Amino acid sequence: MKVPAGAYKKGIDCITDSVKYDYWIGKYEISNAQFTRFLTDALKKKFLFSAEQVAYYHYMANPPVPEGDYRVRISDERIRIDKDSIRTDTTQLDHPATSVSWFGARAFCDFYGFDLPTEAEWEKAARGNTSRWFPWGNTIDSSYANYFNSNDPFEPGTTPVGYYNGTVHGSFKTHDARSYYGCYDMAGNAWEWTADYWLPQIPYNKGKGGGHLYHSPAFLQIYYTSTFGPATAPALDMCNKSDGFRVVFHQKK
Amino acid sequence: MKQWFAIFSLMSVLVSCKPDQEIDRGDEVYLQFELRNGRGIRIDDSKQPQGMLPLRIIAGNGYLPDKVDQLILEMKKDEIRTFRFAACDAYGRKGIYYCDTLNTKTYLIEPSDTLRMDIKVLAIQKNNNTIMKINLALIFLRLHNLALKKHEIAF
Repeated sequence: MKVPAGAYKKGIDCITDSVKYDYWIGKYEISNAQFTRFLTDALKKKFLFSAEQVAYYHYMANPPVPEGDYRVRISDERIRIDKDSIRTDTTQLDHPATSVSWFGARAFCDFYGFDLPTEAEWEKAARGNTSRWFPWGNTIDSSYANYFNSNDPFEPGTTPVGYYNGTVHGSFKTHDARSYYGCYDMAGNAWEWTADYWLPQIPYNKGKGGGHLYHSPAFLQIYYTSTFGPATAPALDMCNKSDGFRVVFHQKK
Repeated sequence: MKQWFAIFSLMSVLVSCKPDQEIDRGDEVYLQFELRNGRGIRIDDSKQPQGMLPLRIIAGNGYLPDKVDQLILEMKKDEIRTFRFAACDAYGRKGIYYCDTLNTKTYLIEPSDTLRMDIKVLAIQKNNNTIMKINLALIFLRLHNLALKKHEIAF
């Protein structure tokens, strides 16, 4: 979706700020089908390598993150990485790719020439210059987004990307929950990695949008940004079950 | 009439800012929280990393897991409370885990766990409906008085 340069409201106080350039942001979170294709092609081209059912990306030093081999994605029941072959659960192809580390999201973008959204780009795409709490407005219930115990037919898992589009799926009614600029699943389903760090001394990237696991509607608000989990800081390349991403594209000058 | 407007405005301010006001269903509330599992390991909080924003909710409207949503009602501004509750009451019977390495299931929340949640109420914004009800009551009273006055003149 094209997001034009201009003002937007940021944070919990809805302070007016601006993004000074046009950009395009994914209408949907990257799906398992797209991520499987990426893994297959990137492994074939030696852009990634695999060992013990984990795909790795060699990330060049970019302070504060040191150079190293980082996990892209671990194997699980949805995507199994076995040497250079990838097996994907065909019932999950249109679900968001999760269990993806920030480096996995970064590798995907580097491979195809995309970027991860900054927090500002993400929030602008979600609410534009309005003060709404959620991407579609100010109210929430289980017909708007996939969050923990929201009773969707896929509980406790992810829902297909774009599932909350106003359609009635069997007996499950959904509202059209697209964001101000027309993106889906900007609340719930997968946490979405952004390009921004918490602080230089905390080289964990921010996540936006709330996930389908454990979090309640309060955490799905646009302003809310994920912490990095348990007290003992996890590995930089953590592959949490609800972490995914969407991409942005910047027009080259 | 001007006096009445002044009273309405004053009442609105009093309703929204009264310092010992309790949280009612429908209020906009700003919380600081820390959630720990039975082993004392912090699962989540709104305090770190630095700069973390408070959690904003509409009380009693399902913004938090049912159990927690009920527990915070009647708390006051600046009040700190520690709640302990069965994990399955808030997060269901399957528990919550994440896969760390090689698909190892590491539990964040065991269904049989007892969770500890420390909550501080940072601010309460009273529900507009409460303010509206009071204002409407005052307007009704004013109209009633006017009607009585008119009645008096008529006689």
